[in-house]
Amino acid sequence: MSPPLPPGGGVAFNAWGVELLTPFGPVLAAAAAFLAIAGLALSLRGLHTFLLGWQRAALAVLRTAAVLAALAVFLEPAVVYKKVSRVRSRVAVLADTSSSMALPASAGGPTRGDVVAAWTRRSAGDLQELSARYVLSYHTFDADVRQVAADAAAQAAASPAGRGTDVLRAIDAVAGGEVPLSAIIVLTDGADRADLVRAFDGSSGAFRDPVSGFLRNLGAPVHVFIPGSDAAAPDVAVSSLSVPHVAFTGVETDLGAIISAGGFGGAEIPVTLRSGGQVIQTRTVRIAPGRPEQRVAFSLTPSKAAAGVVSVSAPVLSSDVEPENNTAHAVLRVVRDRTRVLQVAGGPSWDVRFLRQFLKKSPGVDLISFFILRTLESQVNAPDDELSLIPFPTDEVFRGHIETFDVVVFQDFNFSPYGMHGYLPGLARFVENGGGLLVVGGNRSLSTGEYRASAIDHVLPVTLGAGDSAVSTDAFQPVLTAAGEVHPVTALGADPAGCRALWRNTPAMNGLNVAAAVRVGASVLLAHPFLKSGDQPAPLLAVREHGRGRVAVLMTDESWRFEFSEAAFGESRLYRLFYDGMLRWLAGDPAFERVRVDDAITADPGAPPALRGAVRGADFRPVPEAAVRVSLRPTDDRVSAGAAGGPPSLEGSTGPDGRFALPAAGVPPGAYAAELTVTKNGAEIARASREIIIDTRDPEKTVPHPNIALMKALAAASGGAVHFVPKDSLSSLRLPDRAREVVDKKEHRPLWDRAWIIPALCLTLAAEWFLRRRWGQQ
Amino acid sequence: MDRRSFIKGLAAAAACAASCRARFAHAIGERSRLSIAALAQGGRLEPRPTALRRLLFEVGRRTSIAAAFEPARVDLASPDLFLHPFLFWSGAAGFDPIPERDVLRLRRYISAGGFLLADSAQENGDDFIDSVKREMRRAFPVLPVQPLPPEHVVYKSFYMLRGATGRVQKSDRLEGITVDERTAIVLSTNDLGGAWARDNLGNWEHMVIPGGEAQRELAFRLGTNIVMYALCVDYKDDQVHIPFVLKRRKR
Repeated sequence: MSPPLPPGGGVAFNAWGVELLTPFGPVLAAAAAFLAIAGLALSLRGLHTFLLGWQRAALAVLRTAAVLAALAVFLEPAVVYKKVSRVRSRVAVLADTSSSMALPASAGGPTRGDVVAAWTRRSAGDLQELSARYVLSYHTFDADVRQVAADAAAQAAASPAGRGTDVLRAIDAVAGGEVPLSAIIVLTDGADRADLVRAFDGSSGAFRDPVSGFLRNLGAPVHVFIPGSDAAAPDVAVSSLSVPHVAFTGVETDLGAIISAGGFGGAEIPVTLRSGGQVIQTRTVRIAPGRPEQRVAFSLTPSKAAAGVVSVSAPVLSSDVEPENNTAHAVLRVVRDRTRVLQVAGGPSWDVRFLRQFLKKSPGVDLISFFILRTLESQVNAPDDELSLIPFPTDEVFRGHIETFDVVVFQDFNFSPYGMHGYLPGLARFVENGGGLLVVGGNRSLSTGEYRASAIDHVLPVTLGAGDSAVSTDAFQPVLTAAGEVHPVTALGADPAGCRALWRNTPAMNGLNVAAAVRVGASVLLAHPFLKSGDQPAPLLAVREHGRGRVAVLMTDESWRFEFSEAAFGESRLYRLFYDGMLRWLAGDPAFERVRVDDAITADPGAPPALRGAVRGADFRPVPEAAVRVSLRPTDDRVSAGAAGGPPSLEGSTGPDGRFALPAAGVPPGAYAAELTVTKNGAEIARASREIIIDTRDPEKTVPHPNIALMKALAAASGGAVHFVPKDSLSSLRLPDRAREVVDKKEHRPLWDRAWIIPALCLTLAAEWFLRRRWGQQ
Repeated sequence: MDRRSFIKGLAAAAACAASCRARFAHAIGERSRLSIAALAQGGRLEPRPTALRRLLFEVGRRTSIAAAFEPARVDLASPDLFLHPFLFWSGAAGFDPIPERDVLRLRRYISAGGFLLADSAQENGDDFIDSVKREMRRAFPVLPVQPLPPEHVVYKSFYMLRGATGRVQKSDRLEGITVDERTAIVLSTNDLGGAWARDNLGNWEHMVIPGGEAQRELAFRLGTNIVMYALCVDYKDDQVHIPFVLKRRKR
């Protein structure tokens, strides 16, 4: 049927049809049409049979004409003229420009990028043919994705330098859009370093959700073109080494490494775990053909609480194309599973009780208490066998096991009456070797005890006086000092204002052991509001570092009121926060280290390699303009053998915020023991030892062979396939055609909109009525 | 001894006394000594007003605890309640329920670390202890009052004791409520205060029956143990394990 004349306007319509313009919607329109036709059918069936045939036919024609006219008025039929165009589906081409594409595609051959670029140019005809059927878009990707022109994609592939490879991000970037996607062509070595490889389960060869679901619902096959061949370049690599966030002394710790050995299918490779340069374990890994990656598990039971470097290495085999990636390092932080505290009290008191309860309830504390329950003057009125007093193994604890504790607490304790002077030099050495000592005041402690001129006097942060001026029995409100606002023991609030508010409302203390003076280098964190020790406010709490250890003196036995008296006004966190901070600082919590150094110097895009860290003073304020010098001693045999010109050293200074970044360009990769010395105005203010890793290699190049298994899984999950460049060509691809028609323009010409149709409807109805009556019908 | 020697000796004794006094003066303050507060709830008179002073004296004499010389007095509504972690609640008769506000303060007091020793001064009947138990049920509805078994630390915290005693011998066991792994409330029906009470002239105020002065000594020992338990909790239990802990570390 030829359409009515199209409307003018110069538009070239190429299709037409009929549509209903009724505003009542398709449901009402259908219902009206059904009712009209049904009514017509019933009325025709009801015509009397005694009418002549031509009379019945005449009435039927009139009724049908009337119903059609009514439907035309109601449904508003119109002719629609359309301009229709066909939209081709898309094919996205993704070219990997990460730096791993600069590795050779085969031993001694051109780079992967060059292979891809040459193949792309040779495939110009195939691409031209594809572009006739599909809309081709070209993108380059590494860690980011960029849309480029067709010729730029090949150029970019020939000069890859991007840091990182994120295949999934690139696919996600091209997957959206209005135009349907027929396929994604990825030109890559598959050396993904992001979500795709993290979601890949090597043992099953499949992806975990949500990546699996994403690829399944992508709606377009992913065809991967890998430069090279299925036979990978021979290389052994320790592609990853995973260690727990923290390990505990005496507790077996699991470590895992992934050994990648492309090109060595069937080989048995010995893999060695070292800690601090010492061989811990060796495992033999058998590389199954077609499965170049194997996970190997190690276990290690650390004996010392410290951060150290662990290494996993595989031997360099003949024809190994990249010997540099045969060792991987990681820093393992080892801490004590529990902080071991020795609490020695001169007698039971509320201060002793509350501190013991706090320590006992702390899940991270292993507590041994020693309370003196009777003095030499006590009159117990009973023979010893009626007393429950058990001799404390003083000699065993103080001489044999003192080094097994992290913190010793002397609480209102005078050692003199019990002949313990002999143990004090050992206690001083305990502090010098890194232990924590807390001396809590009271009737028997500090100046009222016999600490003055004792073997531990010199480790205390205060000097002690004698006589009546050594104690004050007046109640006072503690004052938080400026140093206390930043020191981890007393900086309890979220900010200095919150911290001040927390301490401002503490209950009054009922007595103070008054110090004669504060030692140089010590910090006063809490002080008496007006009493003086020398020219400084009399300390309530003073701290200092001595040797490698830490010492605090709390010059009262009233701190229990922080917990109990505060409870009158509701639950108080002050006591627990205070002693938690105190314990962590005394035990040398790494979070409170004054010299912080990054574990590793790594390749940082856009910045030269540097050892970064920060320095805080004994008062925990940042130290600006301090000279930092780091001596590096290799703990890695490979580095030792290769290093020339003696151990390297790094130098620099801290900025206004106490941070430093020491340039480390040219330092060979490997594990090092670093000795840091911080000086200011010629005086040494801090010293620290760390084990660090220098790994400035490009991580893209640590695994030199293509990840074919990963790409096969990607292609299989989306319905695509893996191909090899230059062996395979684009012409072999069978891509689905998802083109669709799109109406660019359309116009309607209503059919009912004629002047005669209403009168015609009326005349038809009138004629039907007239004839029916004339022929004797109702 | 001649006159000069006698004067020298007297001077030395005086110096020593002055020294000892100075040593007390060096104490960090009277308020830091162990005090026990008598709970005078609702203004009721204490049946044994001199008992605590004598107990504190004995505790100071027998142990290393620096005990106060005089007990304090508080009630549950007192602002000073949270200055004294040890309450001694003695009574000779039952009493009406205490106000709800005081029940809440008692609960907060015990939960924050406070200790309560309730002691019945009734020779016959248990009205007072029953009233105390009723209030404890209000303060700690889910924590039962239970007899303290012979192996409880309170019987060995200083003296080795076989059980409970007092001015009378109504029960061999103390009772208690354990809050957060600490027996924070101890109930005695044996009139411990009656055994401790001594007037200013040094006379015991009450006869101790049926055991006489030996039983009174045991009552002081039990009082000392209760004070020691309040201050040390399970220290004695831990101490037994120290050799094993050290051996474990050696391994």
